[in-house]
Amino acid sequence: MSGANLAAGLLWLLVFVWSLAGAIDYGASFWRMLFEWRRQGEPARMAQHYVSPLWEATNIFLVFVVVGLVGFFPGAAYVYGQVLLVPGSLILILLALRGALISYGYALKSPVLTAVTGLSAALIPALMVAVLPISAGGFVAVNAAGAAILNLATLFTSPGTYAYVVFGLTAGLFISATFLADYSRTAENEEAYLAFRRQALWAGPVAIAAGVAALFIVPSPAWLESRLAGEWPWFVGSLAAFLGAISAFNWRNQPSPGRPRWAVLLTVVQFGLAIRGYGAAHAQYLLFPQVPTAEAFTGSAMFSALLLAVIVGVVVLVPAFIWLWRLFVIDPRYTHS
Amino acid sequence: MADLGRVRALFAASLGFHIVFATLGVGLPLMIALAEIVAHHRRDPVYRLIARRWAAAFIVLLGTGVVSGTIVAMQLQLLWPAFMRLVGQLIAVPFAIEVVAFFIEAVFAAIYLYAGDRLRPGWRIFSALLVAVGAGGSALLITDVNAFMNTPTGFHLVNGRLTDIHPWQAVFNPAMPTEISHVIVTAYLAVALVLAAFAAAGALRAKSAGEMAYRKRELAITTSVAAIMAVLAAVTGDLAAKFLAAYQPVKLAAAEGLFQTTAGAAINVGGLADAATDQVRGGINIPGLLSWLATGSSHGVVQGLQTVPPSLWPPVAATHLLFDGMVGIGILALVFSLAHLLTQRRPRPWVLGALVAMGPLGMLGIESGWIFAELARQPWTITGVLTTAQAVTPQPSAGAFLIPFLLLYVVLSIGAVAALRAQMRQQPPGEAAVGGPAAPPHGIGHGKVVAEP
Repeated sequence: MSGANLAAGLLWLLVFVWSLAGAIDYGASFWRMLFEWRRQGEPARMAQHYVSPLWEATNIFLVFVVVGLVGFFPGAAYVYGQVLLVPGSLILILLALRGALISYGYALKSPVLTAVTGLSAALIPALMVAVLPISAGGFVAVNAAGAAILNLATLFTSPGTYAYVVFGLTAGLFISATFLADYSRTAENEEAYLAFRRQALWAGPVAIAAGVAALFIVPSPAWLESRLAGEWPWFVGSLAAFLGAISAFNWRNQPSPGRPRWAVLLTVVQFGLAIRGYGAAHAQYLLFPQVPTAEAFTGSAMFSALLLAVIVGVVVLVPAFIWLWRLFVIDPRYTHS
Repeated sequence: MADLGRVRALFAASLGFHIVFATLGVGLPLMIALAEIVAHHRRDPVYRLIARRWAAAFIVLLGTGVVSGTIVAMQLQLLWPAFMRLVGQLIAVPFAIEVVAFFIEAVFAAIYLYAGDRLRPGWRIFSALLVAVGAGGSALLITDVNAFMNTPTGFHLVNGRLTDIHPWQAVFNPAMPTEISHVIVTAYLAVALVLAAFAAAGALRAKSAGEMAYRKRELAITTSVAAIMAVLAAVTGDLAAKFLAAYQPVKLAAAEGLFQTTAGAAINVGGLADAATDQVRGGINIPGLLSWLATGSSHGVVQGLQTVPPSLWPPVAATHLLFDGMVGIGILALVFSLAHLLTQRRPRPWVLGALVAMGPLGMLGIESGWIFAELARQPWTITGVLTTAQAVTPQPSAGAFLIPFLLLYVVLSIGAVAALRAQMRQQPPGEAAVGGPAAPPHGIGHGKVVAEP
């Protein structure tokens, strides 16, 4: 395996972890808003309970993805930095509002704060996922001065973009509802469990439909389309895992139906298989056709130095994450309070 | 082409906003950990209350520091893509380690703030200290990238191509030791001053003996830290100036408004350096002092700006005043924190009043130091390698984001102040202060009360 492929694989792994953690986190902010509006105190409380201590750590994964791109593929960071100026700046404003207002909300109680937090949280993944159609090509042109320019008008009039946007929006909601259903079950909060279960059962099918539409129905650029078709076993496996997750919500159980822990595990498997297939199909280009993966790759000296830093970092962090997880996801003194 | 002036203004606004929260984020955990240690060591519940109130402020400010830091990290890509390409090729390692430090900070902040009541005191102090380690570590690492921008090493530039890249040489560049040590001690100094200012204001208004006892302890711990850090700031600042004399003489000349290369150079305090006439107007001159500070001999030779063409001069009037402002604030910080420590049995109102003023001045000192550091490197972003004009994004619409982001920072500033005031009202310093029955039982409700009222 070449260094560039290894780096690309690590970057995909980071994207995988961050999109799961981010989906849960942003989705939870949205669910909290929705359930507060509906005056359903229990699910709103569970969502807030999860977000409060963990959103900052989740946010850092995003910085990690960016740092990984800059370090492993400085050439790609150069082009993406130019191309994503407008969507990136919008995402930053939403991200800042959402994060800062969460922490102001500890001291100030206001429905406006909750609404801005919830809505910006729901929009962030929807906008971020627009990177995928951009990376597949067709929306970026290089002008005479050598600057890469994103054609926003074409991007946002293309039906494919909206398939991705709907996918980003609903997939995030599905993943977080599934996770929070399990979180509520662990806390023995059946009322919240049933509320999240209901949301997961509609958001999941919509997300899958949008994902299938984005990848296979709305035409992708030709180079990607044939490669996606070549990776079909991953996508079939992913669909099977999804059906398993939905069925796990209906498995017989007391006091109410469903085994959410299985639904969570199968959703992670589903997402992992899909991202594996998509990543393999996309492997040759980080941005088609301007940034071939091999050309954007950093030198070997920097790659080894980064790899060393990342490995040492992971070794240091794993015990800290385990402690965090035990205190806030497992410890009944926190989840039941 | 993007409007360079507007893009610089946008990025300056983002950094200027972030540095306030970043500095607080670096200094507050240390102060909280110190208060926890003193509380445990002396079995004094008042120090525990001090730690709780500082933690209540920290929990509100941490979020803003996280998001403004994310903005800076992303805007580096979006506004300065050519710079970040070089960063990726040459100095990516500190960024990668910085992420680890961020994680340590965020994970242990969550543990300390939300689970402190479930931990034994030893583990609670441990987690508070690790928040400080993570926050300080991330500050040191990002400052290392800035040091690299001042003195880039670890590569060769041959005909515009980078060769012979040594990532670890870039990490341990010549500016690193002096710059990171000065940044960290001044961050601690500024935060100690801010906390001392609130303590002094509280002491001036204190209505009960209980509140006064609380404020006296708060003042004792903050002015002690401020005095120590002010001395260290002077020591590291002196080393940094000697470093500049050897490695970045133009930057030192811009700091001191020195146009001609001079033996036995004087220090000018507060004068207006005029690049049109190559003269410094006004201010006070102290003969030989600059040579002594830069070279160790009052007759030593200090390089002037005229050793490079004026097109490579930074805006010297601004850099000289910013530099003097930073140094002046540092000296005042030492004077007034010592003045309080000498009078702390019976605090004098004039000392307390001066300490109140030192809070905002401390932050102003941080801002002037950073603005000086960035301005005095112009026109370069990476000295001798990349100019700021070469680094800027070619996207014409980049300048259009100046106003939206300025509005965002106004909204977030108002929100932060409102949230802090509300938070502090929920945690009154007075009644529980003298360890009576109203004192908070050890650990109970720690963090969670302030987080989820």
